[in-house]
Amino acid sequence: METMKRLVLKMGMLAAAVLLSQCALTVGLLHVAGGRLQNQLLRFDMYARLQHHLKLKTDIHYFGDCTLFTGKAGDKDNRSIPAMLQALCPGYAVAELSHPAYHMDLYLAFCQYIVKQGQHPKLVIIPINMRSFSPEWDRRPQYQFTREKTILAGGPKKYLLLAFDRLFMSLGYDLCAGSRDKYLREPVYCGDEKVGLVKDFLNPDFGKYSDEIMRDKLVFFYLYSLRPGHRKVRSLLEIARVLSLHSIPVIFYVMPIDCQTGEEFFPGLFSRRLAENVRVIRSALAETGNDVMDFSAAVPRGEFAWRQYPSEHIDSQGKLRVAEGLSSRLNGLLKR
Amino acid sequence: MVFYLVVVLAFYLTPARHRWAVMLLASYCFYASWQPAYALLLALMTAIDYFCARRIGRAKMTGDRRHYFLLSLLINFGLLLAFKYLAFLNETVRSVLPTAHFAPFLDLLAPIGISYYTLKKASYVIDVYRGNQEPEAHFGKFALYVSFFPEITAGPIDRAHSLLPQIHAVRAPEYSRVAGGLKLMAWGLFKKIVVADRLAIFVKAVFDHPQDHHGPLLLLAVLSFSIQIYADFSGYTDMAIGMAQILGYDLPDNFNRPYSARSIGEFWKRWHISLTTWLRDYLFLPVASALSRKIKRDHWLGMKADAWIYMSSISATMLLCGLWHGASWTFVAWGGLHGAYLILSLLTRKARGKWRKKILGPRPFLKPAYRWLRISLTFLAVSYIWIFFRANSLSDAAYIASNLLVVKGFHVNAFAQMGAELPIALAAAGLMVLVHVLQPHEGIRDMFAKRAAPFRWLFYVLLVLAIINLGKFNDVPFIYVQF
Repeated sequence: METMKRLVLKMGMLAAAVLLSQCALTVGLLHVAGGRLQNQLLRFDMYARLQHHLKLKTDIHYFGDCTLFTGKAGDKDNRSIPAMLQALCPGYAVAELSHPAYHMDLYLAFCQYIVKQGQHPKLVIIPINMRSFSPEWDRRPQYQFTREKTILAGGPKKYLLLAFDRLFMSLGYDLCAGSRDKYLREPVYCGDEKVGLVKDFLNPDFGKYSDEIMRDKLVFFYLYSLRPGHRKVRSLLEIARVLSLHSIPVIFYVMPIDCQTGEEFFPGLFSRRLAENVRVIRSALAETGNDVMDFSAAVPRGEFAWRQYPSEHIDSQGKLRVAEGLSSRLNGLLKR
Repeated sequence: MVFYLVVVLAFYLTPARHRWAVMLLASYCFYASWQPAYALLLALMTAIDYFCARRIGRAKMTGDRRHYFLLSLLINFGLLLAFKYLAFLNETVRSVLPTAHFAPFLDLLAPIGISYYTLKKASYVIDVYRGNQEPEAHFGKFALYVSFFPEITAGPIDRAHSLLPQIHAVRAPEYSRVAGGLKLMAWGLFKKIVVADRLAIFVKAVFDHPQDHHGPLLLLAVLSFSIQIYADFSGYTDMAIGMAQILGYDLPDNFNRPYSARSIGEFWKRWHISLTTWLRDYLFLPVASALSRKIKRDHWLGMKADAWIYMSSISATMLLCGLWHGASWTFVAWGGLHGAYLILSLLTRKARGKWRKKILGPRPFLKPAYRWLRISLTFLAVSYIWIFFRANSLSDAAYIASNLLVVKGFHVNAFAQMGAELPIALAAAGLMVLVHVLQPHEGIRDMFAKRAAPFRWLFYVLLVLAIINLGKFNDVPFIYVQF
C-alpha cells in the first residue's frame, strides 16, 4: 500500500510537471520559435504557405482540393490550374492553397483568418466541388479537418489543442477524429428517396469494376438533392458575407463533372439533378450579390483523368479550359 | 496499454499463489489477439514439449530419452521449417526449376513469435536431456514460461533455469522495481517511436529506391539503419524487460551497448545476447565438439585443427543465424558475411597483435585513439553488412554496397529534400548515443538512480515531452517481431 501511495504521488508530480512544461513549450514554439520548429508543432503545411503569401501580399488567393493539381498519366503539361492561371495573368501573383479533400468549411476558416489578420488580397477564388456536398464526402471523418479549423480560428482552443493533441494521441486517442460509425450510418439519397446508408455504398472491393457499382458511385457522389440549408452551402454564403464585408472580390465557380458518363448511366436524370443542385447554389449566392461560374458541364469526357470510377480530376486540357475561363473573368473583375 | 494496465491490476489483486494463472491467461489472450488458431497451436506444441521433457526425466534407458528428445526437436523445428521456410524453399526450387511445384500448399502465414518460442522450448528440452534442468512438473507454469507475454513476440529468448524459478516464486510489489520498470519502458518507448520510427521514414525512402540516390545519401541511410535497428530492437527489449519487472519478473538483458564493441567478436557478445548465447550453447559448441571428435590431425594445410574447427563451426552458426532471421537470401548473405568477418578476425589476429605492439608499445598515449579507431571501424564494418539485412533484394544490396562512396551527381540539396524528419531523428539518435556514453559500465536504470534528483526529474520530464511531441504514433511494427 505504501508502495502504491508513493508511486501514485510521484506519477502525479511527473504528470503535473509534464503538463506545465507542455503548455510552456507550446506557447514558446508558437511565439518565440519560428520556421520549421513551429511547423513541426502545427503540422499544417497550408497554414505555413498562407502565412508566406500573406507576408508577400500575394494578389490572388486560390483555394481548392486535389482537382487543382492532379492530372492524367502521360500529360505533357503537369501544371496545376493556379499555375496555368498565373501564366495567363502574369500581372498578378497567384497563391495556390490546395490540399486533397479541402472544402467549403475550410475555405471559410481560411477567409476568416485572412480578414482577421487585417489582410486584403485583390481576389479570392473558391472552387465548388459538387461532390463535397454528397454523403460520400460531407461527413467523412478524415475530411473534417477539425484540427486545421481550430488552428485557423485561434484563441484558447487553439492553444489547448496544440498543447494536448499529441498527448492524447500518445495515449491512442485522436481529439480531432470524427466518428466513423456515425459516418457509416449516414443516409444516402437519390433525389428525395433514401436508397441506403453510407456503409452500403463504400465499395470494399475497389479493384473491381461493374456497371452496378458505377451506378452506385454516381448516386453516392452526385444524385442527392442539395438543400439551401446544407451546412456547406451555409459555409459558402458565410464566405461571401465575410469577404464582401471586407470588400474582397471573390470568384466562385462550380468544378467540372463528367456529365457524359453520368448521362450514360442516368439519361436525363443526371444532368437535370446536377442543374437543380447548381441552381440552389446560384440562387443562394445571388442573395449575397455574388454570381457563380458554372464549369460543371464544360469539360468533355475525354478530358477527365479518372480511371475506374468517376472523380473531378481532369487532364491538362481540362485544367487549361478552367484556367482560361477564370482568367477572362479575373481580368474583367480586376480591371473594373 | 489498456491491456497491460488491466493485467497489472489483475495480477496484484489476485492472491500470490494464483498469479501465474493470471499471467498465463493474459499471455494467451495477448497471443490469440493476432490469430486465435495459432494460440491453439502454441498450446499443443507446449503440451508436446511438456510431455517429452517429463518422459526424458523419467526414462531410465538412454534410448528412450533420446527418442523423446528427438521427437520434441523434430516437432519444434519441423513446424518452424514448415511455417517459415517452405515458402522460401518453394521459391528457390522454382527459381532453378520453373516448372517444379515443391509443396505449393505450404505457403503458410508464420505464427508470430514462432522463431523465439521454438528456441525457448528447444533450449528447455535440450537442458532436460543433458541433465542441466529438472523437468517442470506444473503444466500451467511451464505453459507460462513458453508463452510469457512480454517476451513472446521478439524475445529475449529466456532460459528455463532463469524464468521458471521466478514463476514459482511469490513477489510483493516493490516501489523500486515498479519505478525502475516504468523508467525502462519510457526509455524503450523513446528509442522506438522517436528514434527508430523517425529514422525509418528516411531509411525506407532510400532503401526502397536505392537507384534514385547517390553515395552520401546511401551512406547516411546505411548508418541511419544501424541506429534504427538498434533503437527499434533494444527499445522493444527495454519495454519487455520493464513490463516484466513491474510484474515482478527479471528478464535477461539483450543488449550491452553493441556499437561500442572493438571487434566483431565483441559485437556479438553485446548484440541480441539471448540469441547469441543460445547459438553458442546449442549450436556452435556442439558442432565444434562433434568436429573435434572427428578430426584426428593436429594440423591441416598449415593451420591448426582448432582453427579449422572454429571456422567450420562459426560459418555454420552464422549462416543459420542469418536464416533464423528470415527466409531470404539477403539474410543468408548477412549471416555469411558476419561469419566471414569472424574468420578474418581469427586469421589476422597474430598479425594485428604484432602491429599493435609495434605501434602502441613505444607510444602509450595513442591507446585511447586506437580504442576509438577500433570502435569506429567495427561500427562501420557492422553497418556495411546491415545493408544485406535491410535491402529488399540481393541486387539492391549489391547496388548500395558498391555505390556508397560514389559522389558523382550528388548535390547537397538532396539532404534538404528529406524534410524536417531527418534532423529531428538524428538529434534524437544523438541524445540516445549520449545517454549510452554517459552510462559506461552500468545499466540505464542504475545510471538514473545514481544521479541527483533535479537531474533525474529534468531528464524524465524531457523524455516524456520528447515522446509526446516527437514520437510517431502510427503503429510501425517492431523489426524483430517479423522474425
